[in-house]
Amino acid sequence: MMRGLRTFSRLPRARAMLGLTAGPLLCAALLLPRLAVAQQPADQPAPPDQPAPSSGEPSGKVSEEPTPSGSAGGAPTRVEEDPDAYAGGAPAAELLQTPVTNVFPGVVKRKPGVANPVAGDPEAATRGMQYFNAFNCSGCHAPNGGGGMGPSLSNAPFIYGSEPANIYLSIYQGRPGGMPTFGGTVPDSVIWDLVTYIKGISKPWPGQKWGVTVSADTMKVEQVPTEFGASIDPWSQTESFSHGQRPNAAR
Amino acid sequence: MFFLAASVPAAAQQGLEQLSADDHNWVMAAKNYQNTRFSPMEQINAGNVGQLKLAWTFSVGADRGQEAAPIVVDGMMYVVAPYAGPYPNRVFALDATTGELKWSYAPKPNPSAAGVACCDVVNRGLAYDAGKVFLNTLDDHTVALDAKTGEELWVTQLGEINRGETVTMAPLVVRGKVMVGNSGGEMGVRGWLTALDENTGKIVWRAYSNGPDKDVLIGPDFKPKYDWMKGKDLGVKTWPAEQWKTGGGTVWGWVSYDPELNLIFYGTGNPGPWNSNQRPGDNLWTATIFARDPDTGQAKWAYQASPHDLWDHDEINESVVIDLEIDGKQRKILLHPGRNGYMYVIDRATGEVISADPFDTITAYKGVDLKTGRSIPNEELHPSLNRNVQNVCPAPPGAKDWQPTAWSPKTKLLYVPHQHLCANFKTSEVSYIAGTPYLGVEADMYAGPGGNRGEFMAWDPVKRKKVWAIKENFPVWSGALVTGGDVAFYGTMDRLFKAVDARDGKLLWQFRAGSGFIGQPITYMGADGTQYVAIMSGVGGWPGAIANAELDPHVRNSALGFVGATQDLPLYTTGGSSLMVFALPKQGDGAPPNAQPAPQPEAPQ
Repeated sequence: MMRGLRTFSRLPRARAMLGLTAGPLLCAALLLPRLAVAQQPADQPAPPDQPAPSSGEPSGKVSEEPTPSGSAGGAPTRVEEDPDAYAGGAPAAELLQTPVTNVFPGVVKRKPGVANPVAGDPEAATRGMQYFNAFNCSGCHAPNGGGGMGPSLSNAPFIYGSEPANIYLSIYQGRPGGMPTFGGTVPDSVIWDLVTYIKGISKPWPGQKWGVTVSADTMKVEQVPTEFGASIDPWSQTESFSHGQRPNAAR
Repeated sequence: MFFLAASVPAAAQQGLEQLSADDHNWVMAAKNYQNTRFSPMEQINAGNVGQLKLAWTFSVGADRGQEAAPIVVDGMMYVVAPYAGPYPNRVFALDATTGELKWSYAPKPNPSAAGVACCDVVNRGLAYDAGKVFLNTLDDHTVALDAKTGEELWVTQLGEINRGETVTMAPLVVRGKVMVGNSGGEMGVRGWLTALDENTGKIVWRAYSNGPDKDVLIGPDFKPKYDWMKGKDLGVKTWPAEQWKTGGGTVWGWVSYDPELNLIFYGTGNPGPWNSNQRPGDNLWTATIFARDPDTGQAKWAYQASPHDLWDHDEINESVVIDLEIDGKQRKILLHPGRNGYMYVIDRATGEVISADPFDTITAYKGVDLKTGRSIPNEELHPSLNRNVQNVCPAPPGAKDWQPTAWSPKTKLLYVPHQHLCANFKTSEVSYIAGTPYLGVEADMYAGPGGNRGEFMAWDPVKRKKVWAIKENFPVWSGALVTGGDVAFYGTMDRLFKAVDARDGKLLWQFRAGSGFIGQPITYMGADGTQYVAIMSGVGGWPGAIANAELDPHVRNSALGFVGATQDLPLYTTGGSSLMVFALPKQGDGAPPNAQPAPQPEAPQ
């Protein structure tokens, strides 16, 4: 319960920081209930009634250093006491160690020292999916991350690195090609939830090899479009490729 | 027999009307103030166009969507690249006959602008007047260049990318004023059209598309035809509190002009956000055609095509200025192929809708009530919150988007490149965050009935019917051109540039290019007396970003849902950046047009 409550109680502040100026009706009545209460389509995994914190260590942990929130998923109540300290609170020294390329002078490889404190937590991914809509990420990167104004997130390549710390930094710092800078305007935990969701939707498509062949023979599948239900694992719901015709889900 | 470029009277001394009437020139994107895109030239005609050959090409060096029209004046061609590559929105001046590069100009880039451009990073072309070339940059600057030297004369910043504003339209100069509108209807911007002094770059007037009358430049001269558009400050009152400030109504399409009435005509974009449940009311003056005085900007009349738009049906499409005999009476007409799928015939002096007939599959509306002037929404498809509404036709880009039509005074037909798409459409709440998308819709588009996604057709506005139509596999996202030789030109997204008989649509010639076409074909007379036809090749735009950028064809909702309809485009093309110029072979020797003479060896000493 803690994490869920904490997350949602921070939202008004995040919204204020972002200067959300849509009609007060919208702010107060529409968005928050949607985030706070799971208004999910029936075919979508509903968040658990009691969203417990994930059980500690993320599976893909590459560092023994403390995680950015100062806790790997415990009950960091300090957040509510001082949201400013939490927002963007990943340790700067650690983040500075995050490489953005995989070219290392002298071939001395370096791994990001910062792990996602909620990596692999389906609740975090579900919250991340909601934030992905709430902070208009979906407007540029599209529902399920297929891309549009921004590059796609639904497949494996990431321009600025695909490690969780890379994605965290891309959201926090923005990127020169047009990615806005969200650091300091949305809480740190929101960014990590987004990272968790994005890592979950970023996969090679079924049947993809090392490289990508584009031919009539290889364009075989598409995701079930989101108007039929959103999912934190959209690649688990595919159907045959439609070649621009009506989606199979509707036939 | 023909003028050498040097003997043409200096274009700087002539008015745009005169220049546009000279076949040597294509002096504005739409050819002339009437936006007909008709050239009376008939050197290339239906009988010989089958022999058309490539004369020369030029790369603008940026492989994103090439929507720009080249313009030609005084023997020079000017073309602008999309906002991509090391030199975004670079301008090139070429000898229009030989293709020799004379100069180029690169504005100071702000690459972040690409992040707030909804639908690829396109630019629809340059403008010319009085010895100057005018450029709009994606990051909201208008620049004046010396047409001869490329020297920068003035720069004016008109908008702010942090508010989601960009500029993609081709400017138009009317009576010494450069008309520029903003883009960003997907970002909750407040739309406007701005007039700049062509000599100084100073803003003369700005007409907002929503807000109080004083901002919209609605005053005592404003006389709309229909009662529901009469009243004070409707640009405020037809919105929930304050929402007009983020209400869209951007101006990114075409401006036409009637010198006789001294009125400019243009349309405004969709209301924001796309989710209509958040903005009860008519949302004036979005999705509206305006007639304004170009000197003061004051509105004369307005016509809102889609009150309380539900589907992203901007009304920025061109309004072609023509005169027609209707029911035995000569009428001053605007012929306006609406994004909502209706072909509007409008009295351009009053804004009265004379007729409005569907030119594509329409399920989203039940028609246009000619008594009230209001389009009638189909209530069965109402996009209530979180409802997955299916088979909405036309889809969000409408039955026709920006891609401009051509009107032949010879055949009296309008040549219409357009798409044929339907969509699923699901709304959800969205918050306004400046500089981010303001949508609240998951869209998913697909081919309309019959399975084809586009069409090139000829429309008779007097008989109010389609005369012929060519079905195309993909949306026809290129503009059209028609000539006195009874040839109509257009390009396809699957890389074919086509010439068809303007009378019956018969395919006469086609050329397979390096990349798909979304550009605007033009024609002009070279200094060598040869008629040339030019167009940019380079797929992109809203439907084509899937082929020129890093999008996922397996995710239908990508690119605001357009990927659903063009997900297989990467099987046909990638991005490109080629200006292509065609001509007939020189007579007799069978040599290719514009063959350069081989250098002669020097005699030994």
